Amino acid sequence: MIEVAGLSKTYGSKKAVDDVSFTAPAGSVTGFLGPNGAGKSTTMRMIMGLDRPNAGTATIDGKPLAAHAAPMRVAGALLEAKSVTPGRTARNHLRVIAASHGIGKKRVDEVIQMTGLDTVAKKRVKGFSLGMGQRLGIATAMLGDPSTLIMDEPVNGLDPDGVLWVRNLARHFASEGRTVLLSSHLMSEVQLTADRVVVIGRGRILEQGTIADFTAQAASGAVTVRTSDDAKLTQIIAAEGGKATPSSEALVVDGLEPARIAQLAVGAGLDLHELVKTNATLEEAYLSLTADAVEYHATSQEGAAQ
Amino acid sequence: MSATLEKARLSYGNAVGAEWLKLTTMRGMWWVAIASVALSLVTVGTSSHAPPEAGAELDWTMSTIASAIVTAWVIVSVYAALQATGEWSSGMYRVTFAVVPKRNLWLAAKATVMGIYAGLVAIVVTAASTAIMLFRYPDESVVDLADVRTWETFIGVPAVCVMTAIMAVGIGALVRSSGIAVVVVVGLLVLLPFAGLFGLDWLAEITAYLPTGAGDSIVQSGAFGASSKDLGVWLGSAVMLAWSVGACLFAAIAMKRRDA
Repeated sequence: MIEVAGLSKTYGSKKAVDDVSFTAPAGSVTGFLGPNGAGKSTTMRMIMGLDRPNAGTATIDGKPLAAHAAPMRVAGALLEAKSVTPGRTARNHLRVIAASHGIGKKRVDEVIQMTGLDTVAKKRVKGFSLGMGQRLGIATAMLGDPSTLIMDEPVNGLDPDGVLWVRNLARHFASEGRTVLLSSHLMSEVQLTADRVVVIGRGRILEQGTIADFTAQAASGAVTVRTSDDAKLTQIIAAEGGKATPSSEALVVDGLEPARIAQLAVGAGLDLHELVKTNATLEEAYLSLTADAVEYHATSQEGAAQ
Repeated sequence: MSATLEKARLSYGNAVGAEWLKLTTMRGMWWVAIASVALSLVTVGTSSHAPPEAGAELDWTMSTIASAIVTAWVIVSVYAALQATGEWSSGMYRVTFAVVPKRNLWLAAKATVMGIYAGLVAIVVTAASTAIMLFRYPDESVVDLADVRTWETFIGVPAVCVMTAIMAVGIGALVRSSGIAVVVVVGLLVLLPFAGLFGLDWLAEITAYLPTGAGDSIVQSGAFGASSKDLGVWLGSAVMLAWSVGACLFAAIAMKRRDA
């Protein structure tokens, strides 16, 4: 379990992480979301003891990582792919890391098998693709068979097979009662992988909880309707106090439940072709939450054209 | 789960094992060792001085052997500093300090390994230089194992190399940049000692306390630098030790306070 309490980090006058508190419980995958520069990587570095917080604490299984007798057994981290001396082979890199805890070659070869690095294990890391570097980073994190796995953008550069593999790996780790904290900018990926989310923006925690709660909050309750006569239905809905707006050969209705809309349409003799209540995706929930917290706004297409 | 995982522990011994593997899994270690030995042997093999008159051979041999180590001494020390800064230049530090979060433990392990490496290279260089002297001058009494000056060289040369390498690891960990580390180490070992040649007494006084001056006081050969003041073996040893311990102490304090 990862517990972060009141964590703050200042670089010069910029507060990169500002009084951040959250928990990543054991037995679940926690997705760490936020725009670029929001403080995700800095927070992860502080959990791993790489950066010193200006205030607050970060513990793994009750203690700071450095206070554990065998840190590799407690936490493994993929912080940035290619955190490796380029001239060393993948297998030798893993042997070096394993040696720090007296872990033997048997486990090294086991991890090479698990991460699909067999064919490149004896090649120098210098020539590795981004995907292979990412696999080696994950292999390094798994070497100590840790109770907590921390991964910063783990699917970056992976092919679809690799993405699926990371997803299954994270799910499997959590199912064994371990803790997984992963950051990603791919919302669909987090929605498929994580049970819980922690959303950070401009160094502050904006939201945390289960994915279901998070998306329910952002759901607008709008209903998409397609009928034989959109104009007529628009009038009927307006008369009932709802609001219908045309949207790509359909109407999006706010303020009325699907059952009531169906009643009204059938009562007026209209044919119903489609009637769907839209659930917010994690992406929509995330975008509505972080709209104000994005560090660098891209100039929109419309804005550029004006 | 395999048994080695159950017994996995972070310890000084294991950290040294990891750092030793880091050194030996890279070819650079062999290139540096070969270059050091080769350059030193060329120095001894081509030294054109004729053997001096009877009675002075031992001093002559020992200073030739000691002067052969100087190139190796600088090369190995720079290499030791680069082994420390390499953690940052490659990004490896992110993994290193995740598995060895106690940075003093990492520093101690790195210093130990580079000290051992420097010592081994120095022993090989000294032994090979002595062998060449014996081969070139079979009729002269070039080595006298009963004489204390022989042992000042045979023990002093590796000892100075070990302590300088440890100092270089400390400098590397302190500055983290390979470029700056090379400038500092080369400046300290090669450039600064020349300040003593300007004829200013107080400069000569200061240069006696540089690693070069301390090294000369230990080996008593005048090989490491051009200092004009002899500190004596014991004060020289203390000054040399202060350089290596001091550099590592500063590095330890800096690493404790700052981000990795």
